[in-house]
Amino acid sequence: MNSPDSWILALSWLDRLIEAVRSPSYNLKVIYLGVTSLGLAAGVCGCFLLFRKRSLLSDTIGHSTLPGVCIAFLLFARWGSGGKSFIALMIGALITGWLSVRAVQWIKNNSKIKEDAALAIPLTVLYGLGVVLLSVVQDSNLNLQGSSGLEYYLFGMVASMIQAEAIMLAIVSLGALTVISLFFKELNCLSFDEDFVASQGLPHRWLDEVLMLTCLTVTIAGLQTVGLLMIMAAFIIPPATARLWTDSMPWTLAIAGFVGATGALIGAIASAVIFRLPAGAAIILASALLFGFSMLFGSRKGWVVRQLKVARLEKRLSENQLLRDLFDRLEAQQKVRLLAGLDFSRDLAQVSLPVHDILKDRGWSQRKERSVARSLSSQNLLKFERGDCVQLTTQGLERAIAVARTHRLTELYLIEHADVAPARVHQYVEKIEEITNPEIASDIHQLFSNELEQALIPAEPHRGGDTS
Amino acid sequence: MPDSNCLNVNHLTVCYDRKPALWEAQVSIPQGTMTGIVGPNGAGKSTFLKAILDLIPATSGSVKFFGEDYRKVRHRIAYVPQRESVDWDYPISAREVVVMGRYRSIGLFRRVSREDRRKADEALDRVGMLDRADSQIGSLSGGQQQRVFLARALVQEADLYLMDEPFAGIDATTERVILELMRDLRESGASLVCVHHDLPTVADYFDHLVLLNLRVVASGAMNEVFTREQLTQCYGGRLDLLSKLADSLAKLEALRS
Repeated sequence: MNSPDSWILALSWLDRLIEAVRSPSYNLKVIYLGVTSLGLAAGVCGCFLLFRKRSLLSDTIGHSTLPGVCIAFLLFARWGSGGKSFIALMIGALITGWLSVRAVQWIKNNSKIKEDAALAIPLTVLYGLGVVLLSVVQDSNLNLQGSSGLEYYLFGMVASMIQAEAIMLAIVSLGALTVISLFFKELNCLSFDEDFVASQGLPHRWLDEVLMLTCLTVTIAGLQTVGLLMIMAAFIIPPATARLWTDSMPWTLAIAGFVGATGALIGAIASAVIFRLPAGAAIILASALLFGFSMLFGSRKGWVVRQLKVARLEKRLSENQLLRDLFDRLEAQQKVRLLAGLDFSRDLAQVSLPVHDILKDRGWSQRKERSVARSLSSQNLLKFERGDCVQLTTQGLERAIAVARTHRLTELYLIEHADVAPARVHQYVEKIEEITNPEIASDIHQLFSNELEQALIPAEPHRGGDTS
Repeated sequence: MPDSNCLNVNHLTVCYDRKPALWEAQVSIPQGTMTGIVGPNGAGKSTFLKAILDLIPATSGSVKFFGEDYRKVRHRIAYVPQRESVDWDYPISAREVVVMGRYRSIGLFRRVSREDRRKADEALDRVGMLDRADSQIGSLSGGQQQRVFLARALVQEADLYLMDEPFAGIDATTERVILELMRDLRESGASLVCVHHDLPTVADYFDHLVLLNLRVVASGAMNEVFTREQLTQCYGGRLDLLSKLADSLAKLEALRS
């Protein structure tokens, strides 16, 4: 690894990277324009494919273009002016790509074959045909001029992108975005609830057709850049990434477009810097990095956000448990039953309670106990006293009562309405407390409102016995 | 020509994969009523609604709303699909879903106006969901989602509401809200047709009834139709024969094609 050669190689890559980013040549600028347009359009179109559960359709289209490309090449080599005309190749790709979309629909409508297989059959058959034709085209005996460039369609190549191609990509992208913004309202509705669109008398089949044609066009336009084997990723990864950040469709489109464009740009730069690195692969890997980053840090469903939520929930649960324990002790020690309307708070808040025996019952570590108590004290819910004792403040007592009340009512509910044995109910409620949201709590309070006219808070049901 | 019936269905037959799911359905529903469509699982209740709305093709038969073809009176009809029929993870807020009910009157290429949003909020308020208007729909409970769907139908300001299982899998609050709202709508002259799954509540909720089991077993006013004999006929075992017939018919058709 440390041979001078590899150092020189790495240094030359670095050199070219700096050049590609800071002062790109005209050729590079052309490439950047092309790939960014493509990434943007594919990302935005991909959102609708994703929500219509049609993501894999782009894969079928991609693979199915190979025979079209080869046939167009052969025809052009025979009757054209010779060499490659990318317009001719694209028309070929468009035709077989469109055929594959029709074939998927036909198979789905006319046989018992399900969607996944219906997508796979045209994909494999047409791709197989394409591979056969490709080997014919590249047969050295035929000696067809320009046939060596055809494998770029498989893995993608941006280095050879000419200005006309880049402009074509930009125009296709602009066209796709225009169509989507014109019909955004309806396409959004179609992706959410197709039956509703149909019942409204909106032209849902026509809208579906527009969407498919738009995606088809973008796929074909991007073939040579990303390569037909991997073009689907340009449609899938950006929307999946956007989903991790937002809950609004316009933002999903914007973020998917951004991720698509950024991924494509990074990939194109990498491909320009590293000799023979297929652009398609580089673009996909760059987008995948953005996806990975979003999996970790995404604001909606990212790992970090989830961990924070869990930690917050755990903290609140522990606080409630400690408050409830303190209240139980208080109740036992003072031998009181709290009645509605009684002004209890002033007196009871003054009582000191030892913390260490709670520690024993809960099986908490001392550290956990300390941190929970400290958090409660920072919210001004309890005060530390001398000799490992604590005292609830008036607010602390209020929250403790509320928590204990809901807890015991839930226990009562389980015993009376769900036939849970009183001795076993405690273990359920420990779990149920985690899922008792304010709505459920208020339902339970409602349920017992008659019986509770007197007692503000019932006795611990599973201990039993001491009801007045 | 005005018609006192909001819905007339004549000899409606629907097939799935060549297998009849609904045979020669014959139903008339008067205006200003609340009609329940009841029957066992797989009896073709949802199929019936979808077929009269042209969402699935009918093999034969005719359907008239207010004496007219569906295409002519579409604006007078609101459809509330089954809650399970959509992906609730979709990135959309409750208000945006309700605004969809206005899309037809807004028209292509036009933007949603402030007036449309106000109507959506009004409808959300009527179903008690205004405070959750900006929530992503997936974060709502099943009952709340159903209420959002109902609000989307309300903004269409229709004369006939067709609902597919509006009471399925919802909480008591939602059930009360929906029922009150449906009664209000009836008071104001609208008609409601609901697929319903819960026999014990049918007689309380509705004033008209259609008993369905691959065919229309009975239909008419609640007290005439909700009888032991009719229910046994609808839910009883002797329909085995009809579904067997449907199976063999499907096989025959498959051979022919």
